Amino acid sequence: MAMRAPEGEFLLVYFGYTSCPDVCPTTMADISAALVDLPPDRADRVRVAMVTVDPERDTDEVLAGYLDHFFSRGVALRTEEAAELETAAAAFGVQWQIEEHEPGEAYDVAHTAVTYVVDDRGQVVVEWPFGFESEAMTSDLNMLLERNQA
Amino acid sequence: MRNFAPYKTLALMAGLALLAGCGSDGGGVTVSDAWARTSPSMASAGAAYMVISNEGVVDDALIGASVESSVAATVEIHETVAMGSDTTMGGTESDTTMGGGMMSMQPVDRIDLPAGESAMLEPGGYHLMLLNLAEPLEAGKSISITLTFEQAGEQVVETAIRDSAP
Repeated sequence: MAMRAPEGEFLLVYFGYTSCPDVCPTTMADISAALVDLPPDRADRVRVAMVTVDPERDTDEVLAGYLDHFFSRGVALRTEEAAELETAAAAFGVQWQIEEHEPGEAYDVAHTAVTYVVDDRGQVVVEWPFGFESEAMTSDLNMLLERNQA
Repeated sequence: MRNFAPYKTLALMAGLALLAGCGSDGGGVTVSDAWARTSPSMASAGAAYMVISNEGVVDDALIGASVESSVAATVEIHETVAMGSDTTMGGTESDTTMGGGMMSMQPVDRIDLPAGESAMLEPGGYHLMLLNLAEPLEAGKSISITLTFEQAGEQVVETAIRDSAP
């Protein structure tokens, strides 16, 4: 699951899960607000990819629907192969931990809540920790997009 | 003249007891800026945030919350926490990387509200978790959340559904 943005574009990568009521929706909403503040021709060069750390509950449909709520150009990434998810996460330094639970019981998934900005060479150029403000995200993106005119 | 003093003292104490009793009718605790985030259509959980102020003289605490079943099945008080590299939860030992810190949330039994202080329920911190939403939370609508306080009893809070904080 190597990730890179199309030429001249940037990909915002986030690892999370849809049953998360606070951290993930807050981050998605913050990113969404940041993109809204970009000029349209620049916003078109940014995509958001969310990798689910909870493939059991987050089916393709659930994940895609979740992203649609926040973004027009969202990319839903999901794998049921634990090894594949671990490799993808390790590439970013992302950790996660599924809470022990009985079948059918609700559970929390602890996870690294950083948003990674990836360029068209597959490099992480910026990391935004949880709580990074939308205005600062917009500022970073404007700078990156101006520097990387295709 | 000295005979009257004990009666005065008794009358004063009875008056104080009455005042203390009045403190439990919700007069001291106020809730403001309550909002719940709009939820994606498939999301099963939602979150509500608010500011709770204890303007009274009696220490209190938020000990529970509930909503109509038409909104969600249950409500729990949760706190989002950042797990440090010295976590005792086991898992991998190799979390020495900068980006490895994980965020998680845990249910809490109470949020203390000392007299004269406020508690913030906000993204990334304390929040009310609405479990098993009956239907998505839609912007522009509002829901009623019943809060239970240890001293002040129950209070219903009209909570506006929004995309972001007011």
